[in-house]
Amino acid sequence: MIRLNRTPKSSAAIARMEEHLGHPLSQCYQCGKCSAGCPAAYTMDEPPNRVIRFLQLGLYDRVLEQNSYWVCSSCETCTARCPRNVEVKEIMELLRHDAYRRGLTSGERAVFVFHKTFLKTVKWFGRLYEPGLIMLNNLLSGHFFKDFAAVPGMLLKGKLKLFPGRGADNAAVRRIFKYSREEAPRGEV
Amino acid sequence: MKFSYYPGCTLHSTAVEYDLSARAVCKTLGIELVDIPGWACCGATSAHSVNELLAYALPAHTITSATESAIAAPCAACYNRLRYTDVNLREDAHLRAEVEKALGRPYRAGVAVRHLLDIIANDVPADEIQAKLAGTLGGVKVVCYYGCLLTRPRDVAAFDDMEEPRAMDRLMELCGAEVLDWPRRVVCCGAAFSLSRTDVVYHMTGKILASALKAGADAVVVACPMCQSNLDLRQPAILKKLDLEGRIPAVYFTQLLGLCMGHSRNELGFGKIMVDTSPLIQKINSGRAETAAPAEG
Repeated sequence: MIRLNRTPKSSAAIARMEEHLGHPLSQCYQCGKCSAGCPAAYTMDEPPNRVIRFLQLGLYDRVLEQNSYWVCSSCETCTARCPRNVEVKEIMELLRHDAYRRGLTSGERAVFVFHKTFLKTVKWFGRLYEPGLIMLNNLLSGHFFKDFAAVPGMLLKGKLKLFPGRGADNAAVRRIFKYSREEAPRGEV
Repeated sequence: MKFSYYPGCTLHSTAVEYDLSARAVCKTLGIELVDIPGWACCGATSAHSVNELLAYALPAHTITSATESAIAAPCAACYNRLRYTDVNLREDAHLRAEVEKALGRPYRAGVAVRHLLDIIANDVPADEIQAKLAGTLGGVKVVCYYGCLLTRPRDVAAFDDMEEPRAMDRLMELCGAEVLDWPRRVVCCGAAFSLSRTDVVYHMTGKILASALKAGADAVVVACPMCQSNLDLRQPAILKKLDLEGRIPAVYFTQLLGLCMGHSRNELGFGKIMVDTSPLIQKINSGRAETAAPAEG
C-alpha cells in the first residue's frame, strides 16, 4: 500500500520541477510508452512512467530513494516517443541534480562515483584523461583492477595515452567549474 | 567548405581512428577543418547528470572559442551537448546570462553546430562524393548504427529522422555496400555506464551485437566514439556471455568512405580497431574483384 504523505517540502520540490519542465506532471496520462521503450527500465527500481506516477502523487522523497534516475542512460527514447510531450528525460535529469547535491547514491554508488571522478579529471586537465579516469574511478569505487585487462591492448593500439593531452584552456575550465560549484554549493563537482 | 573542428576528447585517445579517417575524408571532399583554440571537454553525460550550469558552460566555452561560423563535431555525444547548449542559450536569456558569468565573456550565438555525418551526407552533393570514389565496398553487408545522441531529441538534433534515420545508409549505399535493415539502429548502447555499470552496457550492447549478427552483417557502421568503444572493446566478453559465435567489427562511416576514396587502411586507422577487420577487408576486395570482372566483360 502506498501511503500518501505530501509534505510542504516535497510539494515545493515538485512545483520547482514543474516550473523547470514548463508543464505540469499531470500532463502524463500514464500510457507507459516511455517505459516500453526504455532500455534501462529492466534494471530500474521503478520504470519511468511509475516514477512520474509517484511524482504525480507527491511522493518526491520516495522517488529520490529509487535508483531509476541514476541508471537512466539519457538516451531520450522516452522524450522522443511521449504522446503528451512530457519531458521524461528532463525529469530524470532534475532528480539526478537534486540527488547529487544531497549526496544520495540510492544504491548506485558506482554511477555516482563515476560522474564525480569524470568531472574531476575534466577539471584538472580540461579534457578527459582516460587512464586517470579509470584509475581514480577504480580507487574510489573500490574495484581496483576493473578493466585493467583491456589496458595493454589499448596502449598497443595507441588508444590510450599515458599522459594527459595539452591544449585545453585550463584557466577558462577552472573558472567554469568554480562558478558552477558556487551556484550549486552542495553539488560538489 | 570551412568548419571549426571539435574532435572532442575521445578522438584524441580511444577513437583516434575516427579522427584520422574524418580528417582524411574531409580533405578529399575539400572540407577544410580548422582546430578550435583551447577547446575543452563538453562535460559529456557526467556534467549534464549532476550540474546544469556546468553542462551548458563547458560546451559554451568551446562554441565561443570557435573561429569559423560553423562547427563540425564527429562525436555524437559532443554534438548533442553542443546543440543542447546552443538551442537553450538562444532561448533562455537568464540561463545565458548565468553561463556568460561562468565564461567571463559573452556567448557567441549563431555558430552552427553540425555533426560530421550531417555535413557529408547533406551538404556534399551525392555526385560530388561519387566522383571522389576510387573503389566500392564490393557489396559487403553492413548495418548502420546511429545510437541515441545523433538523432534525439527532435528539436535539438534535427538533421535526420528520430526513429528511422537514413543519412548513413545513403552514404554506405553510395559506396556500394549492401545496407541491411535491422531493428536496433537508434537503440542506446549504454554509453556512459561503461565504467560504472558495465553490466548495463553488456545488456544493451549485447542486444545490438546479437541483432547485427542475426541480420548477417559483415560490419556495424557507426558515427559515435562511445558506441564504437562499447561495440568493439567490450565485444569479445559480451559475445562470450551471450554464447554467440563470430565477430563483427564496428567501423566508423568515415573509415569505409575513406577506403573507397583510395586512402590506405593505415591512414584510416583500421589497425586500431580491436576486433579483427581483415575478414571485412578481404570481403570488400573479393567483392570488388567480382563486380569488376563482369563490368569489363
